[in-house]
Amino acid sequence: MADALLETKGLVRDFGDTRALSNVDLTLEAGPPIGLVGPNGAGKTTFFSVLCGFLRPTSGTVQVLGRPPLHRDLNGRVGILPQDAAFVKGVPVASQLAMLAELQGFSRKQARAEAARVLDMVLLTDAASKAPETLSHGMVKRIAIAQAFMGSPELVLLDEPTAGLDPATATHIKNLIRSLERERTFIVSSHNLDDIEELCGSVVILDRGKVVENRKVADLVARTSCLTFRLEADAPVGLDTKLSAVANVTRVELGRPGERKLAVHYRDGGGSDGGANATQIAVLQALAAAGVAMLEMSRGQSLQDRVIEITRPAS
Amino acid sequence: MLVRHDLRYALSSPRGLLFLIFFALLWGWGFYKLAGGAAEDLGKGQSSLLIAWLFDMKVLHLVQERPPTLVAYFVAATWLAPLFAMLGSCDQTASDLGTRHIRFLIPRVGRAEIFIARFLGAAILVTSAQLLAGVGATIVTMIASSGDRGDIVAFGAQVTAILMVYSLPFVALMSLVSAAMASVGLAMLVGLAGYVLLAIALSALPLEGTAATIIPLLLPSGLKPHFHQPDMGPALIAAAACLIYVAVYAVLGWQVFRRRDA
Repeated sequence: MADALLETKGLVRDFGDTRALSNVDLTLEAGPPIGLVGPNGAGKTTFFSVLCGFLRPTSGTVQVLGRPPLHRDLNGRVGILPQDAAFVKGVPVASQLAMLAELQGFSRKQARAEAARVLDMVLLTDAASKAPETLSHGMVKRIAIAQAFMGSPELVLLDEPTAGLDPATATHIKNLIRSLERERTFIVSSHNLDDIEELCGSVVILDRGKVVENRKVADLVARTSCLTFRLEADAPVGLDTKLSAVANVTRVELGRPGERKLAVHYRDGGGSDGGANATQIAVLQALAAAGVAMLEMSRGQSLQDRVIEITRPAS
Repeated sequence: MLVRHDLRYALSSPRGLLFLIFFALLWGWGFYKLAGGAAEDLGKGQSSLLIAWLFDMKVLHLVQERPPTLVAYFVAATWLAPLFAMLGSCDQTASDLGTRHIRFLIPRVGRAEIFIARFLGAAILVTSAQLLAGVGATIVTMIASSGDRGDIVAFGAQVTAILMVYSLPFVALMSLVSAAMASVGLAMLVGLAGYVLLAIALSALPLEGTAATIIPLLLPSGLKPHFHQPDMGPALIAAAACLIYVAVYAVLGWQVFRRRDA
């Protein structure tokens, strides 16, 4: 049987008295990009760093492509974009990329060609001879992305790949990931849930050091059985009761005071009976009857809404 | 590969250049003074009393038996070698850890290779500088002294080799300090200040008996008197002791480095 892409068992990581990861058991298989998300303090960065081998687990095990992180056999098979690693000042970026390629096993000549290739991938050929401190934050980020694409890694771990990039460059990087996703598996850690929703086939949600969801994005955002509203004002008292009385409505979620959000879940009859449409119309009528004005309505829930909902502390 | 990159960086980085410029300026000035024969009368007349008072009788014997200009360089260089070695080697793994550059490296190369490469890069830089200074001192002595050229070259080679070996424990000490501090500035401060304070404290302690023999050897600088002798025997033993210091500091440095989060 082929090795899992990634497997953790009983993974614990403590920082002093603080438990950042608590008994994380997770198995991921190769396939479409996988998002790693969670609120601040969820343990996302710690988990990502443990997967990369930057941090050692306090207890438990991690296997990446069937080997412990940073095992010699993984050299060249795993590409990593660390979030906050810096390049050496004063040394041209092409030289630094060539050095990393040499460490990855390329000959000197091949390493220079590989450095040029990945710089071209991130549209930074012109910056090859420049030192990193002379480049903008976004350009340095792209160079860091470039080093993760060197060689032909089977797995690419990207920590906040679009953070700090302007929209056009972020789109280019996302297109790059999309163009390569059939040849390798990406694990993308990001706070930008729109990017995750756009790029990833599945998502792992961490909260308070634990994996609380590991599902396909399509299943999670429930496109066909939910209506999400952005309201002009907070929902009036009793709106949830009124909406719950609508036929086929299974659950009503009101945003917290000030969030001005409303999600109405309903049974999706599917088929051709038009049940879903009838339910949606009935929900809109109920809202109108209650005098609720809305700014925006969408079918399903965004990943962002779902993550907020899933990781919201129980009141 | 990493050593090559490390050396190229050391020769072009502000820190590497600072070390080389400082080293070159100091010895350039020193050689300029020595070339005029300023040290040739050491060990004669009242200067011998001063040397015996400042250092010890072994240094006086050395001045009287070897070319004085080269001995003057040797004695000064052994005093300065620790400071130069620590200055030139303070950035071994400190930058890698402090800037997290190590996160680009460790997916591709083992920690042991990084640690060894950084140590070798620093050791090559520092010992190369000592080699060049030793060659310079030998040439200056040939200019200033009327002694036998063969003897000068032989003693110059001995002095240079000793200084190169004597620098290594301090490079190894900085491998430990830089791994522990993870900051070049802090490593330099802690290394240099720690060494100077320890050296002062050890020299100021009223030691007697066995303690007087052993405690000065806690730092490699305790080996200096063994080098400052006309006989090669004690110098060879001290050189071997230097390698033991290197091993001890490097092992401690490795233990710190391998346990650190990247």
